[in-house]
Amino acid sequence: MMITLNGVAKRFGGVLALNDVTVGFERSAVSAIVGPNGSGKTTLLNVVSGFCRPDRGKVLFDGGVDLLRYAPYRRARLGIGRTFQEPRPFLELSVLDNVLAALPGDADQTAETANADADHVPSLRHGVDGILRLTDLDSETAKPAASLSFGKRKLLDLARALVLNPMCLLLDEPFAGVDPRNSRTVISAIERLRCAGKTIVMISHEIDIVLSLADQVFLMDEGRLVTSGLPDDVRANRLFADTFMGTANA
Amino acid sequence: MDYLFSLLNYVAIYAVFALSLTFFSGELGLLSLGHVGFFGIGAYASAIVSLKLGLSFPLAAGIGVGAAALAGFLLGLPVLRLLKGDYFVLVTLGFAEILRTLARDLSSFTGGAYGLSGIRHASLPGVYFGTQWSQLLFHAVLLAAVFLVVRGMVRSSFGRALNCIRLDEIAYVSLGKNAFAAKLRALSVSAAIAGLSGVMFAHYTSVISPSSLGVDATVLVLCMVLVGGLGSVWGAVAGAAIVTVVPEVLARTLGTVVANQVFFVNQMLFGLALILIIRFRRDRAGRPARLAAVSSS
Repeated sequence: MMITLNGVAKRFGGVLALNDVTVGFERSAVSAIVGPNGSGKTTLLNVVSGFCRPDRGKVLFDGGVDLLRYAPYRRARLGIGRTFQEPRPFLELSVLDNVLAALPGDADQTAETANADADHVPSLRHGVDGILRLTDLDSETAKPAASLSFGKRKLLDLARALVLNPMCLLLDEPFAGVDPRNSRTVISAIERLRCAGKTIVMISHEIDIVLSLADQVFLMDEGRLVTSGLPDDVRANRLFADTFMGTANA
Repeated sequence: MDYLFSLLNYVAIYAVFALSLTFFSGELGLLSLGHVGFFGIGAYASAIVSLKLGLSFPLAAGIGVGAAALAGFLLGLPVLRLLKGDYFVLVTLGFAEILRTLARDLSSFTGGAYGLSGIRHASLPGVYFGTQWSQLLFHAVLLAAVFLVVRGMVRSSFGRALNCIRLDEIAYVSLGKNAFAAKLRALSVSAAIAGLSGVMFAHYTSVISPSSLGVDATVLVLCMVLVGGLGSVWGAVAGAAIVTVVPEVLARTLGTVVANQVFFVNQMLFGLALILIIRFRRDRAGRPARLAAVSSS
């Protein structure tokens, strides 16, 4: 397993966001977490990426690294990239500067020096160019991020996360609010990343995409893992049918 | 002529102070009301070691700047890790008030409410800056050096990193960057610069007392920064000049008593500046901006 959660619980006031969740995400596979709103999906990603500390339980990465000992930025350096439900580009920077700001190196390194480094190290520059092509942003590099559509901002988030060359990518609602053309770009990127051996964990309500793209599906409700397995197996679950009825069968 | 030189000396000292605040608060979007504390630490530390230990000015100034930087580092260790937005603003205000109280109550070191006097003017080996114009020259060189350092930092990868943190700290961290370390470094450097302005003040006026470290001093430097435009390096210098010179010009025009006791020129200027800034201030993307931190989310 690339990521394993053992007995993880997290409470926000009177709400039990995660209730003794034990789950494992396979290496080099696309795992999809589905479930009704408020079922704890984003909290689970936040626990893995370090933006939320669980009350109890263990989170292990890459065969036994105890993630809870690492701050969020160190988890990213370990190889866990992520995007957010609401895209978070640096709005005042250009598309290219956003991507270059993510280049690894000096902890304080961002666009200006990163740009220079990328120019001097062909492999870095090549990598950035490839990522921009993969996310269909290569013709918009000079645009300010603030001028991008919602869907393009999501793609920019994805591009920026890929610059880290993560072993594992956590995608929070990568298709929500994204038009069909940009959704196809995201799907294509995910398929290519899976072929490249990356582990993808994504949250999505786009059930058609989930069922066709995911290798494993995890159904959550009220902070608990209800069931998991192959897409067709999970599809047979009653809660899944209740939650996504009309979408799944469309 | 001495009056003009004196005024310009104060402009230079306050411009250095304003640069320290505009660098930290402008780049990071974290409003600090505690920089007068670093100013005070620089002033007192330098004054104490030069008066009580007889250290030379360069050594005393180095100790003053180093003490302020250390204070910034120690304050930042818990505060930058735990607090954001309005809570950060309140703690920095409290920090400055605690230091002012300590300066008043630790009278065996600080001279109590009367402060320390007889502090020697700045000097370098073989050079004593004893006249107004020589002090102005010295302060102008220090201001130019600080200006170049701050402008260099703003344009460097360090400044870009702070800018990214201001824009979205969570996104910055998710890219494997250590935002806390960058913020701590920024506060330490900024505190060092504020400490330098305190050193300049103490050795120029030859006096430092708790009355120089009150909330009014915080408001004064905040006005300088805001008048010039938060985050603007040139603006900090211009703001220091405007906020220092305008009340003096009005006082000379109207008479000191009329200006300060009838029209309350300083307070009116501060109030007017704050109203205009709050009404019209925009962030760098052109949106209405808050005075407190953008990173409070």
